[in-house]
This record gives sequence, structure tokens and C-alpha cells, in this order.
Amino acid sequence: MKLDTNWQASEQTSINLNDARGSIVFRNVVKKYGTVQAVNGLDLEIDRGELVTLLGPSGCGKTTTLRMIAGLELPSTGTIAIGGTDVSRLPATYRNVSMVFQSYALFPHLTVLDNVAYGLRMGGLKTPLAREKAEDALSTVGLAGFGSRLPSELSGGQQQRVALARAIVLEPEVLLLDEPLSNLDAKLRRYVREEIRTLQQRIGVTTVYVTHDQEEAMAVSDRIIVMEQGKIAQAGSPADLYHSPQSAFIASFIGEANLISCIASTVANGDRVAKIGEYRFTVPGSNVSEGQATLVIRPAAISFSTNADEGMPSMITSAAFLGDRVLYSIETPIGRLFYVEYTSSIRHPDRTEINITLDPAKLHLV
Amino acid sequence: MLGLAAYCLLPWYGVDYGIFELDWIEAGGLLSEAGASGLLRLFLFSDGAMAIPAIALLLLVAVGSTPQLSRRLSMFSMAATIFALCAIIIHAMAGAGPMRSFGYGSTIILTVLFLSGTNLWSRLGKGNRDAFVVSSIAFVCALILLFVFYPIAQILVQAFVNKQGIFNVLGALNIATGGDIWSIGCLVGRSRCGVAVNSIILGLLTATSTTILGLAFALLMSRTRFPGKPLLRALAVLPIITPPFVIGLALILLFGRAGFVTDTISNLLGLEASRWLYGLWGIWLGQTLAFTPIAFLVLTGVVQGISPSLEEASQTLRADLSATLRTVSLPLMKPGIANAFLLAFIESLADFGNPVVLGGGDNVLSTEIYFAIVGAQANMMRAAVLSLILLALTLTVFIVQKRWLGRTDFTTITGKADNGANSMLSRGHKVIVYGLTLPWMLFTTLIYVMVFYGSVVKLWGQDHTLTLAHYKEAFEVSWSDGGIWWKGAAWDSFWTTISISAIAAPLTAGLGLLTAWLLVRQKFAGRSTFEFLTMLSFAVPGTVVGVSYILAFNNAPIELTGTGTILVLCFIFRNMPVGVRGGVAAMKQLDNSLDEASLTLGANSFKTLRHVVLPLMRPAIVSAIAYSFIRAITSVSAVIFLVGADHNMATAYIIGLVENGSYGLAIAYSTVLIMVMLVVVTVLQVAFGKRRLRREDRIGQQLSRPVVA
Repeated sequence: MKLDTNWQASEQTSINLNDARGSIVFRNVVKKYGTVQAVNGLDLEIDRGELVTLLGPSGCGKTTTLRMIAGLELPSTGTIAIGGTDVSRLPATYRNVSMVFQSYALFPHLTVLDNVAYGLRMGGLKTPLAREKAEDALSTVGLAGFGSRLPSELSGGQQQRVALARAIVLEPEVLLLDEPLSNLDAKLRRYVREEIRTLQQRIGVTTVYVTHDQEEAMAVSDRIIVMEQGKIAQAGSPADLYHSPQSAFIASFIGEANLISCIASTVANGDRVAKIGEYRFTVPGSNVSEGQATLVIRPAAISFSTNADEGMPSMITSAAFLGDRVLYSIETPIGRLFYVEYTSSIRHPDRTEINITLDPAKLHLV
Repeated sequence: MLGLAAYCLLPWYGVDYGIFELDWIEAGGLLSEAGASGLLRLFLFSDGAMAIPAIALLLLVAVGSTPQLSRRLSMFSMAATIFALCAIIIHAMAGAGPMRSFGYGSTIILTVLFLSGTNLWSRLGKGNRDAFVVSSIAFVCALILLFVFYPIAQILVQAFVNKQGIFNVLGALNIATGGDIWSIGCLVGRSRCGVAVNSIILGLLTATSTTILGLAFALLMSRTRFPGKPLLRALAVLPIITPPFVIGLALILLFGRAGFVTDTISNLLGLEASRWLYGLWGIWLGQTLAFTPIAFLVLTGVVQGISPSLEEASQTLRADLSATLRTVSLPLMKPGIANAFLLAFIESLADFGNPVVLGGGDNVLSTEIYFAIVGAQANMMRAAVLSLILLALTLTVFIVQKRWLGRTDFTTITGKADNGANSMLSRGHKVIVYGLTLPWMLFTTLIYVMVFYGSVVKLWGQDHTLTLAHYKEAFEVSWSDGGIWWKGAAWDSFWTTISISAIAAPLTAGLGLLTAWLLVRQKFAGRSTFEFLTMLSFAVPGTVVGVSYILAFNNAPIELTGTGTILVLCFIFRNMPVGVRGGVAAMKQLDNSLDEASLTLGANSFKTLRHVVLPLMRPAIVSAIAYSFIRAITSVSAVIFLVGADHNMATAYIIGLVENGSYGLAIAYSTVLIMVMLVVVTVLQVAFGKRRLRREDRIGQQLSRPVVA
């Protein structure tokens, strides 16, 4: 039994990319399926104890990246290091990484307790001891006393917590979560994502979280890595991504935004000016190159003006009441914009003529 | 990987000190020349070649206990392993003096060397480094090559090489183009047709009739409110547990010269009793009875696979029920119907039981092969050539079915939830369906009643007094000298059949499910070829398998004819595709993330298979075992060539009885076999049902507790 683990370890030549246990480093990783490139020369660094979200539309390579960290897929080329050790060719069985699956993947023929104890027993722990540790893990996720049930006898939220307990009981270097909230109803989601965040902070495990929901990503992450077509589009804290998007893709993907094409030019003090038709908007603190660009107008940058001489003459083309807010669509000289007003009733019905102004401090050029 | 390494280590040690010395023990003591172990051969009989495996094994033991293995060392030991494997095989084939068969020792050593080789290969970083997966793939491939393709290659050799060992294409061509095989005389009304033409005509007739009846039954099952559906299901299962010639026997009892119906009609109308049943028409009737349930099972899936929303859409577009069936449902079913047709065609070509019982003067390929071997002239070359023709026919149809129909399947389930119900049949179609199915159901029921009745009358056609004499003759048991004396004539072959089938069934299911697991869950180069090869053995007719096994395993290095082993092997490789199919279907229902979860939790692929996949597949395993058991008991075509004096199988024994005209005894024996299989199926069904009950109990019990959300 000993023989093979030793041998496996011997093949792991340490490349010492990072001393910290729990760090993840991707160097020029490519994953091809036949002729399709799912991941396309990815460089990635995740620090110990961080909760990082891989965010992106479906097919962007985020799940493939997660599965390569797990060892369920091996990269076609490039290297992956976990905890400073090259694991590029090491299959999942031998990696110190746990994963919570989208479907939870609880073994239907085993009780909740045996599900949680499974990894411990596979690691060679005696059954009574494994069960004891599994009980502890179950109480960590608030499911003490549920051990003797079958997974099919639990609610979706409870199953999710069993999957989490099964992953963390192994005290992995890295915890992977693949769209963990997608099978829960909307109300439960917010509660569970807070729980996941709290638990992660408490045990301090490096966590990689895959989702396509930007709100979920912003709520739980230390850092968000937005992926597009197998590459990183932009990485940073939720606030970074929201306030200084580097591309129209990021701007539209993180938070809601109106994207208007414009011509950018530089003025004396170094600020940029966006020119759309006869309108000019000063955008301070931007360093976009001159020429064709995109002006990002968050709904928060828009305000209604009662002064007829100020701003752009516009017309409301639709107003939808959503309870706590009203969603407006506005026809303006620079194009159609949407705007959100937090009020309890529609103040400007359809076909109202109105003047709107843009707050320069809340505009971005990309 | 860990488990397999340990598994491999044990035999290595064992081989040196234990099993090696058991070698060739059956041929007389260890010290005799013939019975010596490899080790003793090396020293006592100065057989230098015996040193090679010893050195290779010692090297492997040394390498196996070294935790750290350099790339070069593993390459070297792999080369050594391969060399030793080749050396042993060449030594056996080209050894001086008469060729000797492999004994226990050499078989085990060969297996160990082979598995070590694959293990080392996986250590070199191939195949995701999972030794279990790599070894399994190599193991299954090697077995299929050895027990499916090697025997068929032997047929080729036999067909083209004459007695003097000279390559002889002309001789083979001469046989292959002979008028007795390809003559179409019967079509133009002159004389008899050739056997191949007979086979093809029969295949087309049977395929047409079974497909039409099967479709009618499938429509009856899923598109009408027919009250007798449970009965229909039972009738569909019955032929599976019926030995293939039993229906032929029942037909003889009804329509044969002394048949019940023949008698009645000739008495009423004063007609001369004719022999029309013995020939192509009789075989056609028998095969239609036997294979309609298969077409029914295939077509039920097809009919139910039509999305109800398509039919509902058609009806909202102002098509009535009849037009919907004609313009939407039937065109969508076309590939499925073609599939059922081709399957029935293959079954008909491969069938041996019905033609041998009902054939009379009209021979088909499968029976002609049999008579070429057991007949007076014992012409192996002719048998081989005929086998190749039969094989070519079935393989062509099989490949057509896989390659051409594989692409045009409209009925695959999309995974989208489909609401609504399939439309019922229109009045006109209902009349047709009922008109076809009800008489046929009655006929099938009558056949089975006849089987039972035939077994309890004294002498069919002459003395219809009821008696249990046939059962007594076959299965009499008496007490003598304080022990049971199995006095009946059938006991011997009965126990052989049961024990050989019982040995073969779990092995078949195991190998089939392992293959299914590799196919569904593992990615490896050549996977689709691998799949094709495993399914290909399904298309090899039993008669051909029988001939090929005689040719391949009659001489050293693998001499198995006349033993029970060859029967077990034959069943395993003939029925394995059934296990593969069942396993693939069951495994596709299991979410792959369960396997992946197990892997990320630190289990290797062997442990995952053992702790996650197998427990979840239990129903599939049970039915695979049951089905292989039943197929082993009922098979005739391959078995009839392989039975020996010591190992006679029930079906071969019954065929013998039929040839002697002992219909009563044959039918009594068949009835008992059907009963035994019915019991086996029922018992397994109950065991299978139990698992569900336990599950429901548990849920009921849990529901009474307050559920904390």
C-alpha cells in the first residue's frame, strides 16, 4: 500500500513557485478537447486563504479551470502548482483538494454520515474514527443528528451542507465549489452564500468558487477572476471590477451599465473627453487611448433634471414598477439608456419628456 | 492503483514459491518430466528456456518493492516483461518435440506478467497513471482478442489452408461458389435453392414478419387501452427463457405429420397428411414465433420514444389520429423499425435450433455447417468456408445497422421535460393492430399449452393417455445405500448445464460490466474501436463460434475441447455484449459527478468502482447475471459443437432426443428447464424488489420524524 504513494510523491518535483500551503499557480495552461480550446494559455495566481471566484458566461472555461485544479481534467500543456508543488500530471485521487459539486454528488446508497466519512475511510482511517470526525463536520455545518439519514431524505439546502461537510472534513489545501447555489431557490441562496463565506473565513481554507451570477460573486469573493473565451478578462476585488472595468465586456458583466460608443480625446489637464455626436462628456481619471472608445454609464450616473436648460432633452419610453424600484427606458440624443430609480411608485409615466444629466465622476471610458 | 499494486505483488511472491510448484501437477508428480514445474524443469531437465520467466519474475519483484522508480528502469523492466511473455508463448508453440498445452502454472505466470506489464506501462505516465484502468483495458482487449478474434482467425486459416498445409485459395473458392450454396433454383421453380440463398430468404421473411408483428404489439402496448397488457408482458418474457427449439417441437406436435391440427384436418377433409412443416415454411413459422418478442421489445422503446408534443402539435395542425400516425409518428419511427428488421435478420441467420428441428430437407447455413462437421465426411474445410459466408452476412448487416442507423436516430430523448400523452390509435389502425395481435397471442399461448401437454401424454399422435412417465424417465430419483441415486437419464446433463451456467453467469456479468464501465467512464485512445469490437462479438453467430472454438482450442498451446472450461469461456464471450449493453445503459443513468466526487475525496478508480459504482448498479448486476445464466442454459448453436462425453449440456442432449424421435422426453426436459429458469427469474425479481421496499420503509420511517429545514 505504501509503495505507490511514495512513488507518486517522488514524481512531484518541487518547483517552489510559492512556499505557502494552499496557494494555486497556473502557468500558461492550455486545455484542448479535440480541436476546441476550452482554456487558452491561462496564467493565474491564487493566494493562501483567499476566496476567489471564477466568473463568466457559460463556455468561458471557468468550470474546466476548476476541474483542472481538482485534477479531474489534466492540462494539455502548461503547469499547475498547488502549495508550491507541481501537480500538472497528478490525478484527482492524489491531490489534497476537495470539491463541492453542482449536483452535490452525494452517494445515494450511503447514509449522510457515511458520505461525510467516505474520504476519510478512503484515506485509510479506521471506520469508527472516521465516523467520529464526520459527526464533528456535520455539526460544523449544523446537521448534527442527521447522520443516519439517506441523502434523498434531506432538503436541497441540507444536501448542500452535507456536500460541504464531506469536502471540509478532509481539511483540504484547497476547497472547490462548482456553482454551489444553482440548485437552491432564490431565498435560500443569499442565506447559504453567507454561510459559505463565514465558514470559509473561520477555517481559512483557500477556496475557488465558480459561478455565472455576478451578484453572487460580488457578495462572497475576496477577488473575482472574470473569464472570457478561455482567458482572464480581468481580475480584481469586486469594487475594482465595478468601478474601473477595463473592457466593455467587464463593464456589462459586473453590474448593469449602458454602453455607448464614442470618440475619446485628451484635454489639457490630462482628463479624457468622450464625444458622442454634438455632446461632450469629461471623464476624469481615465487613461483610455484616444480614438474609438466605449462610454460606460451606470444607472447611478444618470439623474433627472427639472431645469429645462440643463442636460439632454429626452423621453421616457417605458416604465416598469418592480416593487422597491422603477426601471425606466429613456430615449436620449446619445442613444437609449436604462435607469433605475428607487421609489415606491412610477413618478414619470410613459412618454414623459424629461431632461437628464450625467455625473462625470461616475462615468468610465473603456 | 494501490489495491491493484498489492494485488499484483501477491502473485509475484506467490509465483516464486507457491504456484510455480503446482505447475502441471495433473500430468503426474512434480518430478516426472511432464509434470515438472518451471523451476524444476530448469534444474532437473535442463530446460534453459524456463529461466526466462524466473528472471523476469524476480526482476518484477525487485522492481515492485522499489518505491522510487526511474524512467529508464521501468522502461527496462517493461521490455523484460514483454520479452518474457513472448518467450513463453514462442517456447510453447515452437518447442522441441510434441506441443504441450499450457498448464495452471504457465497460465498464471502469463497473466501476472501481462498485468505487471500494463502496470509498468501506467507507471510510465500513460493512461492517466491509473494502473487499474490501464490493466483493465489491456486485460479486456487481450481476452477479446484471444477468445473472439483468434478463433475466427483460425477459421480463416482452416478455410484457405488444405491438409498438406498449403495455402489453397482455389479450394475455398470452389466450395464458396458451389451451386449447393448459391443456387437460386427454387425461385424459378426448378429445384432446391442453395443453403446461403435459403438463409437469406428465410432471414428476409422472418425479419419482415417479426417486424410487422412486433410493431403491432408495440402499438397495442402503448397506444391502446388493451386490457391484457400484463399478459402481453409475460408472453414477451417467455421466449427468453425458452430453449430455441422448443417452439419448433410444439409446432411439430401441432402441424407435424402426426400433429394435432394435421390429424384433425385430414380426418375432417380426408386429405393426405402432408409434410409442409418440415422446410423453409416451418422454420419461418418457428422463427416468427421465437423472434417476435425481440422485435416487440425493441419497437416498444421506439414507439414510446416518440415525443408526445410532436404528435400533439400535429393534431393542433388539423391532422386526425390516423394522419398523425402516418405523417408524423411512423416516419419518426423509421430508423427504429429498420433497426428491429436488421436485428431479426441477424437472429434468423444465426438461429440453429429451429432449422435443425424443422429443417427437413431445406438446410440453411447454420445447419449445413453443423452437418459438415458431424456428418459422415466430417469436412472441416467446408464447415470453415460456410462459417465465413455466414459470418460475412451477419457482420455486413451488423455494420450496416451500426454505421448507417446509428446516425439517423430521431427518437433519442432530449432531456427536456415532455408533457402530454402519446396519441391513441385511430379506429381503422386499431382494427389492423388487434387483427394482427390477438390471433398471434392466442397462437403463442396455444404453443406453450402444447409444450406442457406434449410432455404428459404417452406417445404423441398415437396414445394420448396422460402420464408422467417422461418426467420419471428423465428425472427419477431413488434412494439406495443411504444416498441419493440420480437415476433419471437427464440428471447428468442437467447438473452440468446448471453448474456451467452458474459459473459462467457471474463471470459474464463481471466482464461485461467492467467493459461497460471502461466504455462509459474512461477516456482513452481508441475507445470507439474498443466499443465496436466488444459489440462485434454479438454479431458472430453461435454456429460460427462453435466451429471457431473447435479449430482454435483443439491443440496446444491452448487445448480445451471436451472440457467444461471451453463451455464456460464460450458462454462468457458470447453473452458478454448483453452485460456490456445493460451496464452501459445503467451507468449512463448514474451521474458522472458521483465518480468524480469519489475521486476528489481520495479514492482511486478501483475503490470508486467498488464503493460507489457497483453498489449503485446492483439491479443491473443482478439482471446481467440472471440474463447470462438464462442465455447459457438456452443456447444451442455454439454448444452443440463443444459438448463432450463428460460435459453434455441439456440443450445438446435434447437435440439428440429429438433426432431420435423421443419427442415426449425432449419436451418434458424442456418444460423442466423452462420451470427452472422461471424460478430463477422470479427469485431474482423478488430479491430486486426487496431493495426498493427497504428504501421505502426507511423513508416512511424518516418522514414521521420532524424535518428540520
